[in-house]
Order: sequence, then structure tokens, then C-alpha cells
Amino acid sequence: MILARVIGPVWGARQSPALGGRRVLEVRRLGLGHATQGEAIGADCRDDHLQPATLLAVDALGSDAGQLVLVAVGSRVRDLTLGPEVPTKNVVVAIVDEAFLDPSGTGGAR
Amino acid sequence: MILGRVVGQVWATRKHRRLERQKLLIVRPLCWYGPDHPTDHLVAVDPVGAEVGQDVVVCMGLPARQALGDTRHPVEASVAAIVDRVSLSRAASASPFFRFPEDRRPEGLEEVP
Repeated sequence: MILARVIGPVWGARQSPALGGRRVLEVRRLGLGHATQGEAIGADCRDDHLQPATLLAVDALGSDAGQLVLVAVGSRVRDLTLGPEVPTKNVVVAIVDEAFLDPSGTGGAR
Repeated sequence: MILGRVVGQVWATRKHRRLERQKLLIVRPLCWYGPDHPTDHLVAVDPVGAEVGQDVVVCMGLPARQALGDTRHPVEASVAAIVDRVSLSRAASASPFFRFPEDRRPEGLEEVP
């Protein structure tokens, strides 16, 4: 799984019936490069915490733009959450309240 | 399986019901692997009880679900072990796969002939 922030839904006039009206979200992956020791981030995650490239994920939880989410990747995970007919490999499986980061891994206070 | 260092933890109230009461760790891979969407981190379910700063072995894919004891969990990464030390042959440590960045050398790494 990877952490990413929701940019917003992708709207299409016509969509595959296999999507079943589910929302497709544009998300940006988190990068640890700018995180500082012992930092806690949540929905207030700054732009410089994110990688520039976006990817698309199907939402199973009803997440909103700006939220930090956990994206699981793979067809088996898709089968277990949305169903095997849904044409995606990226599924939002959790909406993150807070992520505690200690990029050097030296063990922060908490 | 990959080697990684635990660099954080994630808390989430709203999540898939099969993720309830699961500890979610942020892991920084120590060596190259081939993720679908490259990032400098991954999030793994931890049934072992690893802590921030420890090096761990992370299972990917089906083995990740098997390590949790139920293949219906919608996850593709889980912690299988906490690393005490790593021994590498000199030939292996010369390969690009095991070229660890200076700040991400595994705990207790030793080279053996």
C-alpha cells in the first residue's frame, strides 16, 4: 500500500458500466524527501510532501479532495474490495487521520 | 520479500473493515524492488510488533496476506520479521541490488567472503 493525497474526482460523461458509478480519484503519492524528524501529517499534508506525478484510484470509502488516503495496489486487492469486474488495480482502502514520520528511522519520541 | 526500515506509523478511523485493529507501518525500502507505482515508502500491516527505527522483512502480494493468516485481507504488504543482522557475501554486496544508500544500511550488516 502507499500513502497519497486526493486531488479530486475525475469526471467523465460516459464511464464503463463495470465501474458501477464508483468515483475515480486523482491522487498524488507521498514522498518522504521533505518530511522532518518526528513530523505528524494528516489532511494538512503540504504540497512539498507529495510527488508531482498523479495516479488514479477507485474510491471504496467516500474520500474527499485534500484527504490523505491509503491506496492498495493489485488485482487481488481489487477483487477483495470492489469486486473482480471493476477495471482498476488501485483501490482506496483507508482514510488517514494522521501519519507519524521519522524519515531517518532513528526512533522519534512517541 | 524486501528489506525495509520502519520510518513511521499510520492511523486511520475510516478504513476497510478487514483493516480494523491492524497496525499500519510506513516502511522505507532499503534496496531496490519493482513496485507498480514507485515511491520512497510503502505501508505494511504489522502483525509482528515492529517499532520505528527497526529494520524489517516485508512480504509482498499473496504472501503478505498469508503472513496475516487470512488471504481475504485487502493488503499487499505485511511485516514478516524484525531484522537482527544481515550477512551478505562479498559478491552479493557488489551487486547493484544490494547497494544500500549510506543512510539506509541495514542494522548489523556484515560482509562474509
